Amino acid sequence: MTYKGYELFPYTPFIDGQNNIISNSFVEVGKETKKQTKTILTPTNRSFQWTFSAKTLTGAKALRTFFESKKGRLTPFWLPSFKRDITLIAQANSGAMALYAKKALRNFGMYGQKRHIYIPSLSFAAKIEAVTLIDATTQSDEILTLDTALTSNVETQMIQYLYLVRFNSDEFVLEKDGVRFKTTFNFIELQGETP
Amino acid sequence: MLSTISAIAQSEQKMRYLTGVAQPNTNLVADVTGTSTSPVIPASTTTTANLPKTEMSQLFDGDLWVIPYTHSYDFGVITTPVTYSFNIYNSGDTAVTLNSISASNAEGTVVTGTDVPYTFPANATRSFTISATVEGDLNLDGYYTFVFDMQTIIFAIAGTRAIILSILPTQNYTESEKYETNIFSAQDGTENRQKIVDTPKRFIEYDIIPDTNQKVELLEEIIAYALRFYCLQPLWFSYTQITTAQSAYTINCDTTARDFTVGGYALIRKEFDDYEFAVIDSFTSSSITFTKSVSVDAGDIIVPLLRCTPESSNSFTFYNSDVAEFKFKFKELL
Repeated sequence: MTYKGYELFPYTPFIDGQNNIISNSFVEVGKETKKQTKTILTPTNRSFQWTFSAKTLTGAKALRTFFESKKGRLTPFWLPSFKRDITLIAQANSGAMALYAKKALRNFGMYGQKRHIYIPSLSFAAKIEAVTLIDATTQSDEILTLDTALTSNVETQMIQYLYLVRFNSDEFVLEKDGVRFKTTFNFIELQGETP
Repeated sequence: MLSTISAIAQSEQKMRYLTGVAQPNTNLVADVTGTSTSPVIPASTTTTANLPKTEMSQLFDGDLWVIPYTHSYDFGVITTPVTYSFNIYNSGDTAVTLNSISASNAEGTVVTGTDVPYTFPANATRSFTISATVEGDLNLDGYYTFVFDMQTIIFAIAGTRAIILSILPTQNYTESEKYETNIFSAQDGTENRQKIVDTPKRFIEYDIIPDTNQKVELLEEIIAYALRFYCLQPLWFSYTQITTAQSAYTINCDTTARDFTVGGYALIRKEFDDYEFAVIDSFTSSSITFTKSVSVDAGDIIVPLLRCTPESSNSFTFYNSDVAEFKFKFKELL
């Protein structure tokens, strides 16, 4: 699947050995005077170290072919989060442009933006254009306004975030783990290039 | 290349047919019995030194001859520079000119003996030497053509430069490949990325615990050689196993998702010290066609080979006098 000009990473990671990192290389100023401030120039970035496995050589070579198609660190692509990121509090009907979600302060997303959602069961992806908090103080919901109308009714489907990433290593290593083939991919988010 | 060499091989004992000269009617060599139309001249006894000139002239029929009487040579496994020398004898009573010497599929070899054109005096012999160096085609299968005024002599050469690490890895086997990308990160989080290589370089890494001193010795010898030159490392993930015995150019086997390449090399392996090296002419998902006929039994494996070098330093430990453990990392030689 292709979304906004970039391919979607099509393989599901192995559940063990997953490692998600959220980081920002800030600079601390004023440590000596105990009046610290931080100078931050870059957006907060995510990186991922996920292990993938294949039962057959064909499956293993498919992982390699994807890596080769991206020429290592050269070409960006979308990486689904592979977790349930948004829980809806009401059904969103087909054709709707908004999702009513449980509150998770998604308006803070401007610091580490997660603007794109993906519903695997519907092969549907869209961009969150705006996050509106109905009530910021109580256990309430927030409205996510999309740039694309939903193609089906949505309520219980798994909604994942999409990250625009590239491989964070130029090397692809294939190893055998018992009867399986195994490889570990490092991904790094490209906040500055996410549309 | 293939058909030419095959043609030469079939007529190896009948060089004179190749040169287009009629065979003698009688057998002039005393120690050969029978009336074969193709006199067999034992190379060890028939030299220009032990036959009178007149008999020489009758015997050799006035033609140009290669002595010893063979016009092909197999260098075997070329791990050091090797040479083969032979004489060309003008048995006629007139001078002939050697106009040219040309090579075909003979990369890594050179013929020495004379500059061309060279005029062969009557009844004269000249020595030629073909030298094969370590660098060159892994599968040497070519020939030299000596073009004289009235005659052409074709001398075929064969050999292999395939030094194969045919012992199975024991553990921690990985195959990897590496691109190179130059990345400039701007402060706003955007990047400028440039690729430095177009095709990735491949690496193979594994531990090996040979269980006999024969294997330990073999590994040491191959690594010593490979550090100077190269070795061929099987891509073990891509092995395919033979189910029925076959003997042909085309061998039926499953090649799905395996790293065989046209023009690439393959190892046909029964045991670590019993194997064959072949060049892949073409392949489909269910068969491989080699540039020569190969023989396989059920249970043999065919595995693609990668021309590579070990790291510049390789260490091993030994557990007892027969068992040692090596840790290898091989890098593809592009």
